[in-house]
Amino acid sequence: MPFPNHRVFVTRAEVLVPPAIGLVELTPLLLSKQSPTRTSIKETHGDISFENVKLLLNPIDKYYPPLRDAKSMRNDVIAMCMCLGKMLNGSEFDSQTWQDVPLFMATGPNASGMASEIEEICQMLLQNLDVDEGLRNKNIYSEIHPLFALKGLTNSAQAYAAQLFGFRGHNATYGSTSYGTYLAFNDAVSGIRAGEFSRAVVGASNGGGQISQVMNAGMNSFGRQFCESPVAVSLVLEAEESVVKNDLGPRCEIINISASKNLPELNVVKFEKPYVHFADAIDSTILFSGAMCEESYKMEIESLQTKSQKHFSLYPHFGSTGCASFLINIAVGYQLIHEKIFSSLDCLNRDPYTRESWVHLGTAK
Amino acid sequence: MSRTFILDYDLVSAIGVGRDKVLKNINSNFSGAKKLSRFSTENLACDFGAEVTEPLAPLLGSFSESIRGACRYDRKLEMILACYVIMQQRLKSFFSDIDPLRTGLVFGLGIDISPIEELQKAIQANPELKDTYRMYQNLNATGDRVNLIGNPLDIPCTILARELNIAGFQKSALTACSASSQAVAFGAQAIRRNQADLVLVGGTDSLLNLLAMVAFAKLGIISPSDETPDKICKPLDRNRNSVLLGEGAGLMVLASESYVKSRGLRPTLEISGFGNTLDGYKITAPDPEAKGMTRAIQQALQMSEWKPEDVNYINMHGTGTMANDPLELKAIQQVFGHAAKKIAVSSTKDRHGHTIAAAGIIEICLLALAMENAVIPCTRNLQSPIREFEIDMVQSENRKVEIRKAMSNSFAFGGVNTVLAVQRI
Repeated sequence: MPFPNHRVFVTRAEVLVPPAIGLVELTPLLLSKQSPTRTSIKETHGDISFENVKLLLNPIDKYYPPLRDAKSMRNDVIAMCMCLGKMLNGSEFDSQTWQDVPLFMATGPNASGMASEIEEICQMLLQNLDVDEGLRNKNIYSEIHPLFALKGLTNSAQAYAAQLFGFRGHNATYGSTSYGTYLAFNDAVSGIRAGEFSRAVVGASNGGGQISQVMNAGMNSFGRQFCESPVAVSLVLEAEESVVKNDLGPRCEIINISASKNLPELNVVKFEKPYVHFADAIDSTILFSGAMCEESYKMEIESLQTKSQKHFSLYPHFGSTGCASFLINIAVGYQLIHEKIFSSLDCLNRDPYTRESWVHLGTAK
Repeated sequence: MSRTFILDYDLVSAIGVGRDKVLKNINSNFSGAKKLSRFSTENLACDFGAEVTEPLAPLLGSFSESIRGACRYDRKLEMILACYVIMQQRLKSFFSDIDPLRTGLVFGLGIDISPIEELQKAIQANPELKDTYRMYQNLNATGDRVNLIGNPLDIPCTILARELNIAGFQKSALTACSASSQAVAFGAQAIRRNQADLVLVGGTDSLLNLLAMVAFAKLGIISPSDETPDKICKPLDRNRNSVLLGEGAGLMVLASESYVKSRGLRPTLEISGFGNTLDGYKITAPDPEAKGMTRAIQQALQMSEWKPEDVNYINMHGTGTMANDPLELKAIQQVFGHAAKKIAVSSTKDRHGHTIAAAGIIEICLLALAMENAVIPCTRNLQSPIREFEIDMVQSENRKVEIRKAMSNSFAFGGVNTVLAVQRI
């Protein structure tokens, strides 16, 4: 490698998960011996069964974005802004500090955050099937809100994060599965390792909801029963030099990161065995994600039981966390290492196209 | 650090399907703007756009039934797969005999706006679909992971990665009008970082459907006009007041020095640098000081190790909106100072339209064509240039002149600024 290989640390992390839980409150829930319960609404349409979990975004919350901005934000964008606000609040950095810091984001199906608008348009169409095209166009024109295009913006979370928190530098927004979040995280790690920058912020938010579920129906090998949660997650990565300079005293280091090199799978293969790519490298407790339904979660457990390590997942608590699942594992791993509950963790993730990723987190020495 | 060479490129646009047709239409100053024909625009104030009118479906015969079905609902997918088919033999040759883990793919992609006029037809043909979920469910029962409607935005990456066995990485940049310029930048970055030897970059987008047309009209960026469609969009002109919405797709092959040497190739163009910044001002408006645009151009200049006076030509983002065009000129003036007088600039969006996520790839393909054929395309509809800048705005006719070093600007909705620097070897 022609590049320097700087060490990379996670120095801050935050999550926003249903109903409105942050990272510090989340870890005791995960470690509790009580069976997890999730407050969800079940819906059935034909042979598709949805379990929708709600994220409560309170407009009077300290971190809720200004209302003038929030009116053109999808819920996943509001959640991302709240998560970033909480993570950066009280930091020893002012907004000037963040202006040259790269911002790497990932997003899921944007239409998820516009389900009500899309449903209204569909209903309007369905009720006016027999009208002529001119009248249909007139109806659609009156139905669509002037902020519709703005709300659908794919890089909306990144744009508002820049506006609200002062990011002005290198940036990316990747989609659309958890592999996209791996790419965002890997860009940050690669840039720090190569010495291109000394600090980066990574974020991902998942909208969830029915649009995501019908979109992913064809990717589910086991049937059509889904559970997914809207969540947001963010973290700060820093090089050793930056950590020492700012006297941050890191505890969590990115020791290793890798993605499987299989091509994304387009055919539905029943009972694909998950987590086969990194079996030899794993030597810690495993934090895993990828399942979109109960059956595939059981399959993951079965696959991991052949390894001797302990393993756990956020699935029983929230169902799938969609595109954010890769990063939420890292944030939880950071917190568990920070609280000295674990000294190292292996985070495994698998996207709906069967691409897997692995991050080994350790306690910084 | 490896240099990044451009090995090949091609495009599907309103001014031609395939680079030879596009070059011919650039030389003849053809505009792809016309009254839209794909769907009824009755009762809509704006009924014009830059449409790809050549039929693309006949090109897609080798794809599976579900992929061809998805293309009927997803114009973006149809166009990028058509572009792939045009280049297929050349691409297969580049991507053969290389370790798949040393190859990558980065596409700039736009939002999925289902063509509701097509959905309406489907429901009329099958009234059982009259429940939104049943409609999704029935239309998407394809038997594989490709839906007819509502695919993940990165579905073109997945399909083409499989076609060409690209296993190193598959990235999709989702940054609106800068998306496919970022795709080129990230592809070049992967080669510079020695993460890949061969990267397929590109992008695709279409806003020419009923929902998108209405949404953009309501946002106020397209305006009704009494002029003929080919005259409405006037980038850099004092009388500008409307964007020309368009559609298109493009692909470009980037390679490392070691790949080029090992195959004895002699490319003529290279990506010498890029800039990528955020405005962080307001999502609804560009920074009035053009600071983000200025920094992006400066970064591209710096990474390329060029002096301001080295640059011959800038293909501007130049959308034809009141707010953006003067700020882009301001940024150019701020970076290049007195040298700006000698830098030719133009926008080609009055010909092929604003293709949003595909704008960057379409325009860098046009820039490559311009550099290879020593022609600077004029801003076709520019008659009364914005006055307050001392910049050489190319108007009235194309200029036959050699271009050694050039830039392509993309400045997106939401304040993402991406600039690519290209030089002849």
